[in-house]
Amino acid sequence: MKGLLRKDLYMTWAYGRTLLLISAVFLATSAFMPSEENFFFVIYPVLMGGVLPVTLLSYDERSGWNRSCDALPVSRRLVVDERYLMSLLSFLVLYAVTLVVQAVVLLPRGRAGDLGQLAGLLPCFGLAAPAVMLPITLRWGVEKGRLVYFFFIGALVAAGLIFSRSVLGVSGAIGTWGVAAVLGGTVLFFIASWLLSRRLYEKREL
Amino acid sequence: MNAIEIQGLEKHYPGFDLKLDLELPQGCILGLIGENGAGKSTTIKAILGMLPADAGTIRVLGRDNRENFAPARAEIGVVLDEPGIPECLTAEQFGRVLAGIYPNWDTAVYTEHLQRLAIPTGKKYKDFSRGMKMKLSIAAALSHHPKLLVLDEPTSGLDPVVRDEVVEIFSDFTRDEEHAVLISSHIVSDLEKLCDYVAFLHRGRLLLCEEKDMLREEYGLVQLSKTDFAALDPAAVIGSRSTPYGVSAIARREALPAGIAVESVSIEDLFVLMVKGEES
Repeated sequence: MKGLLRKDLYMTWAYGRTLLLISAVFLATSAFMPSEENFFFVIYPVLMGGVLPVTLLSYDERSGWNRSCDALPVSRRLVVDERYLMSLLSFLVLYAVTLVVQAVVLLPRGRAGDLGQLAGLLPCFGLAAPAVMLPITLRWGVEKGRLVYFFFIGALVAAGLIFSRSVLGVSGAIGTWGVAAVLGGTVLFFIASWLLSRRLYEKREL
Repeated sequence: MNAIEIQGLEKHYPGFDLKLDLELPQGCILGLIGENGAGKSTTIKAILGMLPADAGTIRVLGRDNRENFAPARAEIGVVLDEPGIPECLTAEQFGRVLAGIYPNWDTAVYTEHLQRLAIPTGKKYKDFSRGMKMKLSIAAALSHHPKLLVLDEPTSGLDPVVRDEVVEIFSDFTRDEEHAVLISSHIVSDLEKLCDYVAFLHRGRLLLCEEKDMLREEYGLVQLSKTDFAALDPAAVIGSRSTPYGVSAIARREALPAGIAVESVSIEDLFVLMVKGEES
């Protein structure tokens, strides 16, 4: 596991820097926008954090690492576990940074409650995306995973336009219990996706 | 004990069927020779548990490769025809990655192999030549004290000098009686230098598997006129080809009539003529 994580960290540094830079720009932009209109700018960094392992998977498929990894003393299950762990780690880093930025914006205005709502709702976006994309990418390859990714981004933009232009608008609409329910559901969905990916990847012939 | 035991292995793809029984004793080097698409890589992947077999059993270093085989791979050094190393990594970083994967990884041995094979430590893998990529893969395969090396075309892309050095490294490896090597290659001259046993694979079937020295004793190359060739017992002839001067044929020495001049046969000639004989 340690070696696989180390490899992904090296790859994140090599290939993920642009994504991290874009995330930083989005976060900075979100801080200067009215909180009623910053939906996409707040969501995008946590989404990127969550799907980073999917991006790395595409590089692995291109280099043939996913095949050669099969000859190493690591089980397929461990390979899947590492992807999900990496997804959690990169999501948590960008989630924390997003919350810090939003805390700087919201707390001086006495909107601690809004920050709490945001903290509850952001994981739904950051974890749902990899929960959908990882099983598909691990079982059927990067091309299919990429299609799902574009669909996800499109759905997100559409959701932002249709329902609200701000994350707080969404949380306001569904209320605190609604946020808690969606958060709980997302966590369960992520765990189910993890278990499903283990089974799907075991069956894949590389 | 055998390092590898394959019994009744079957793997089926549309238009291709692999059926194989094979053994590699410990302390030996077995060369797997076959044309493109003969099933060498499929065999190697099946041995490593990278492909599920449709039938049969494979035991590697005494373990059934269908049962929790991943930890056992720590004792196997592998070089695949496509090394599959992440392109952004340097040799040094790749070593650190493998140190976190192989419980018995030896950084000192790895560094020694990098130096011996003149592999730059700070250059990214994507900037390596084909030969350099293969050398890095070989260095990695040898740096965790494996008992078995499984090598799929390890010398392809290497220049003759480096190829010779790599063959020497593999040869050194089998000085330990507990070590074994399974190597597939198109470059039959490398296998001829290196191997104790040779297996010919053709269209998913094993044509033969024998000790290399026995093959040389058992078979010989004869150059005959077409008339003399026609007079030979067909059962003695393994394979033949027409030449402007008559016929070149591989035959069993003991089945040849006395008085015929028999030359020593190379493994390459034996394979080529055997395959031709099989096809005709």
